[in-house]
Amino acid sequence: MIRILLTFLAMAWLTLMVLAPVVIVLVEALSAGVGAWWQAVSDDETRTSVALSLKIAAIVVPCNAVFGVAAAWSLARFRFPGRSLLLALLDLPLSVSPVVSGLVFVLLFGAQGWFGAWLQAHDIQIIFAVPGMVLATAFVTLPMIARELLPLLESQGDDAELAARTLGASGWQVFWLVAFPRMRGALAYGVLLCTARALGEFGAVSVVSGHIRGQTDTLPLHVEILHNEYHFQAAFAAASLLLLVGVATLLLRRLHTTEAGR
Amino acid sequence: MSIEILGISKNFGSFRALDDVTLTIAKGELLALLGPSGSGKTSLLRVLAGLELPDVGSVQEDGHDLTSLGARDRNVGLVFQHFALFPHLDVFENIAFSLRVRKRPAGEVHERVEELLHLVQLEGLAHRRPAELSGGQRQRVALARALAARPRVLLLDEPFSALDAKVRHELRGWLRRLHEELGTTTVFVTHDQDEAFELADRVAVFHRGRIEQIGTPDQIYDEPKSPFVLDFLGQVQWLEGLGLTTLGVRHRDVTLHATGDMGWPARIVRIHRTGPRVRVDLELATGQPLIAALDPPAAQHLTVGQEVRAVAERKYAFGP
Ligand SMILES: Nc1ncnc2c1ncn2[C@@H]1O[C@H](COP(=O)(O)OP(=O)(O)OP(=O)(O)O)[C@@H](O)[C@H]1O
Ligand SMILES: [Mg+2]
Repeated sequence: MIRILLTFLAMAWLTLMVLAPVVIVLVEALSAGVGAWWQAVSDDETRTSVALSLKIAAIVVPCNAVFGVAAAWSLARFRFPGRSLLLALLDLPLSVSPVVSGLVFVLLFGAQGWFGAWLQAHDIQIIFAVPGMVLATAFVTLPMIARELLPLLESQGDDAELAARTLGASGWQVFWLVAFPRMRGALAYGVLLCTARALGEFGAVSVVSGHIRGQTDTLPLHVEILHNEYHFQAAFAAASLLLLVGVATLLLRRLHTTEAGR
Repeated sequence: MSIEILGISKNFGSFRALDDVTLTIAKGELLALLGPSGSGKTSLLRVLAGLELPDVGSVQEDGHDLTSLGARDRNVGLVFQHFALFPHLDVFENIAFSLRVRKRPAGEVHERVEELLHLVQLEGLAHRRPAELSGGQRQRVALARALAARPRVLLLDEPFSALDAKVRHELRGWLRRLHEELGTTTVFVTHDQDEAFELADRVAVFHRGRIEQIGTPDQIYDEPKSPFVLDFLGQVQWLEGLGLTTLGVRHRDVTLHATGDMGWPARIVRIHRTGPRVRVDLELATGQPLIAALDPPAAQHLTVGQEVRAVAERKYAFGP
């Protein structure tokens, strides 16, 4: 009885909170027909915003991947002073509100910020420009890949790597021949999650972007603008693209877990 | 090439895992490190392999100091307790690893790996992944991998503990033959005394980070130097109050006599068959328990409740 009740509760809540919004987005996006959806999606401004989102992700994700692998490996394998501090710092971007993260960058690089004068003197624009958005996105998504790798590395243990050492491998060889191949699966999944998050990031990017139409609009920001301007159908059409990213992530994740299960 | 371990101590925090260990390993010898869990056996192997730096003491090989030489440069073959094979590489590449990192030509690698596959009797499994092998097969891959670069010393950490009894027995004999064939100086860790005694030329008994006794299996068995060693070898009963010190009596050293006035008066409490021997539980007149492990014929006419004389053919007493 309790089982049925709890299952029902969970399903009802999921339907209300997750399924319904998804359906609404799709229905609204296609409310004026597929042609109108395509028109909205292929609109110039939408296309530039998609391109910018992809560009930011293309910079941020590789950086986070390199950082994530390095951080996870050193945290899992070595005991060094400051290790627990690094572990705590690693979680910070996930626990701080993205808006605050964005404001930090404004405070640092904005016109009134710490480095504002110097940047202006050298004619470097960070805030209200793409570099700031890259920084903000990078900050917010920083721990995602490291967090994905850490538990894996800890559960694997270091036996195989020590064995490689006794077999004559150098530090680099241990990493490239033993450690890295064993984290490839988790890394791929981390990259996937990080990409999805980078494409969808709103809060921090919104603060630093300055909303310059056609220049600093990412896809999520563009959705908001469209919505604020009462272009509901177009807003939902653009939003459906983000929804697609989410669904694709889930599908790839399924693929990943069934493969890992084998 | 003899290896000398001189006064090695190793602390983990305030815990002393190795306490002033001194030991010489002769060239070509098969040495067993025997001791209970946590006694420091693995720690010593790790120091020997260069994976751990001792706090005090040194490791020398023919007078050359190896202490600060890293694992990579020692050319020591270490087989881990749980094999630590590379799960993403097949058997061939696992065995080839030490040659690949030394950038040996492909032809040579191929030849050597084939040779080792033959040696460990795994021809035909070269392209399996470790996950597709049985425990005994993994063990042999680990051994072949450790041997590939012709290490000066082979270190085996409880090589058979993860295997079932039958496979364990087979591999024991096989390892002994392998050692005779290759003559590689070998140190292996075990907490199974049968394994140590059956395989090793010499046995070092570990206790709390120290070497309690070292010698040939016969020496250790016949002349245990401390209560710990006698007790660890098992099948022993400790008797108090029969003299000044505590006496240790091995079950198999007790004989029972229906008549006479030798030994101690005792009453039979229980008789049961354990493998090749009959175990007789006794209660001495002093109330202390004693156990006799007899050959079946000697136990034939005994009955529960019978009063007998128990004679300890051999007693071990240790001075304070
Ligand atoms: N890296 C470490 N950090 C802290 N303590 C350790 C470490 N390595 C070993 N020890 C401690 O040192 C002691 C000896 O460990 P060791 O692994 O050498 O024992 P062992 O004789 O191999 O035991 P077992 O038969 O259980 O493998 C143990 O009490 C263990 O807890
Ligand atoms: Mg051990």
